[in-house]
Amino acid sequence: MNRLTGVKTGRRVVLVSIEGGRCAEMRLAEMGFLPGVEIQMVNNSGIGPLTVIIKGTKLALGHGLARKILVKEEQQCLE
Amino acid sequence: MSGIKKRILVALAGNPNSGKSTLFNNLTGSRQHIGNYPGVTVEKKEGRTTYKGYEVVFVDLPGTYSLSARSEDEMVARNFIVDEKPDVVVHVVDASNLERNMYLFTQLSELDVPVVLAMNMSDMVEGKGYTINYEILSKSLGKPVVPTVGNKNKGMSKLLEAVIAVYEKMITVSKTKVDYGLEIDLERTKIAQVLSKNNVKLNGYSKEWLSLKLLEKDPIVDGHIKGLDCASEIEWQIEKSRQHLRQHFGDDAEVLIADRRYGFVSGVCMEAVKQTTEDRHDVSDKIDKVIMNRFLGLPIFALVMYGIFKFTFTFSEPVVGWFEKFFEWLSSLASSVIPEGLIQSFVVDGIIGGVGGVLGFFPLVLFMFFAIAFFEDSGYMARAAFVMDRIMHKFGLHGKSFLPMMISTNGCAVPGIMATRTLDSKKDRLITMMVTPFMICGAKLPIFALFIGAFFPAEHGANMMFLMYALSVIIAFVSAWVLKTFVFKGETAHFVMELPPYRMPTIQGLLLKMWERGWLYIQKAGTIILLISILIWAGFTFPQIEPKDGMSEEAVAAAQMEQSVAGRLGKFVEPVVEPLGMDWRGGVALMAGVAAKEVVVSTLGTIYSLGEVDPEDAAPLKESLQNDPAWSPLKALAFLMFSLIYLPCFVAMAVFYRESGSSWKWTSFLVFWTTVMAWCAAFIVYQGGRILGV
Repeated sequence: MNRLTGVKTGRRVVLVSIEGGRCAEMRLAEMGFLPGVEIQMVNNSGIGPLTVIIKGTKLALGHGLARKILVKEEQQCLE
Repeated sequence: MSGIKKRILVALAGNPNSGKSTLFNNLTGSRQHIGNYPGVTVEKKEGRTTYKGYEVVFVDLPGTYSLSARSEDEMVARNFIVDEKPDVVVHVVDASNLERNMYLFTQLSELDVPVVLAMNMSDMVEGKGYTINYEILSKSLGKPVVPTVGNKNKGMSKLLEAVIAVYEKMITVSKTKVDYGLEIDLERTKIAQVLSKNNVKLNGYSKEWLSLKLLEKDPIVDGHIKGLDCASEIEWQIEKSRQHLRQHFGDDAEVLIADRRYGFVSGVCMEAVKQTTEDRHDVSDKIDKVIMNRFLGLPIFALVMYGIFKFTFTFSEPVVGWFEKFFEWLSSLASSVIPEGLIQSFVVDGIIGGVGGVLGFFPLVLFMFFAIAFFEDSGYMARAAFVMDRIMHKFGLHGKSFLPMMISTNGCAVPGIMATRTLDSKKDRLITMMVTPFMICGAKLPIFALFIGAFFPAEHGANMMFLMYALSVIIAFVSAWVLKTFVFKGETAHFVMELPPYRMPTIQGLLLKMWERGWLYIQKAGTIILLISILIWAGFTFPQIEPKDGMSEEAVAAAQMEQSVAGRLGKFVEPVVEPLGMDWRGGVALMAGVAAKEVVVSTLGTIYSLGEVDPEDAAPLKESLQNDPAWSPLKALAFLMFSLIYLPCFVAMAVFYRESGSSWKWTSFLVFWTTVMAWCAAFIVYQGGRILGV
């Protein structure tokens, strides 16, 4: 299992669970961050916020929040 | 034909960026602000139309992803639906982004209101690589579904027809229910039983809904329960149920509930949506790769901002010159037509000198609004927030705080402060509210344009302006850091934000937006600025003094001003502003500026116009300042520093008071904080400059 912050640009992963505060968890769940959902990493520069596509929308995600999201590898690199 | 119209109250709900405000404008003919970034509508707005003998009142609710009431904008939206019980709720859905948008629907359908779905941006669906069968969608949701295209004004009458049909119960709207599964339903029943046992009735909410909300730990409903006698019993049951679910599923109840809702949505989508090609987000991704690049992102943002100033200054310069000439001509005309005396002075010094000074910068403001509108409509603003997040985090702010600050820069701190409603955490919100007024708003712009124009070479105008904006950002960041470190301790909440697809702004849309904001500027100049200019003129004109023999005309004018009410007031504050390089005139202008920031310019206009001996040969304010030995570039800079930081205008303070939860404590803190900081900054600039021999 990985943290979302450790996922390289271009990869697709599946969300396993979210650590941390209830408020953050709720917000994320409402935006579609739910266990089993596919996340496509669009841009992860290693520091600062990252961009993902989830349920067809592009979202910007703060680094601290992304750290709390645990994911597993689904398939190999797209490009 | 009956004369009495039936009145239908319709609420427009939907995600940010779903085109809700565009629909609202189409339906009601009003001109509400639209932007391609989240959080433009944070306050509900009302408009009306008549259709087939009905009076339809539309209320545009803040755009939200959910109705969980965890931030202020969500609370506004939900409270309206729950308390006002609109006849119909139109859920505006971005059809090209169906799944996410439908999450809100699951919550809307749980509230007891009839829902009509407007599938907006339906023309974009095919480009995304799928088709939607609206009939199947309507059947599986049990609600009327109307495809619309907001920006092309399509589908509006069909939408109105559907609203009326639902209102008249010509269409049966069935209650759609999300299947939460046996376990969750069981726990809900247990909670509902405790509620029944204790005879709990809250604002007519159904027990079904209450039990769900309690299980989710909804902050508002939770708050209601806390006040009850049986609170502990209910809370005990909630805790037990939540624990049970956690053991059973390994997740918190709110995540499970969100999961079931999304499950419902994807079930519906599977039936009604047919994928034709895989959507690859191609173009948008390529642009983002550059614009949001780790190294390039910030320089690009700085370049964009610089470009905005360069554009504004370069193109507005000649036009501002014409406006100056026009007001010059107007005042010499007025002087020659009206005989010398109080009335002449009132018109020439009070009105033309005051309001004219502000209106002279109208072209500059227009160009600025145009340039910024371009970036708002394109979708760049959300990216800029992303780019800035990294830095802002270090100062205790985050990407979401960026938008209120940008709104303040683009126009006014009042909507800026309101836009902080999208922030979840109260601390983050207060900090952002506290620093938003530092930004250079449309009203402060004339002050900067005037002094930069008067004391710095024209070719550096845009650079100086850019520098000032950069400075305002730095000051905002540093104060946020101070507030975060010493006043509001604790961790900054993190942010999630949608990055809307890029859209090419239309010329028509840009011009419209520019004109809307520009018109506000003119309106303000014609009303409040005019009124205050008159007051200021009167303040300098009365009481009238008797000129002594042998005094030159200039000496009389000077003595008159110094002995007037406003002059004496200025003399009174002079010791405070003297160390900043200002005399009493600067002090009066800054004090008057609290009413509205443009007034700083109009007051100086009146002062210099009154001091003018020959009104028929009046020089523009810029030249008067240049020729006055009391000013120097260093003093101008100190004056600008003070103007940049000192307390927000009266309206902004009133809004701050309201939005801070009517807190006198924070409002007085804001006043104290900004004033002290402004004084210190201007002091450092002026005295530092003197020591360095500038």
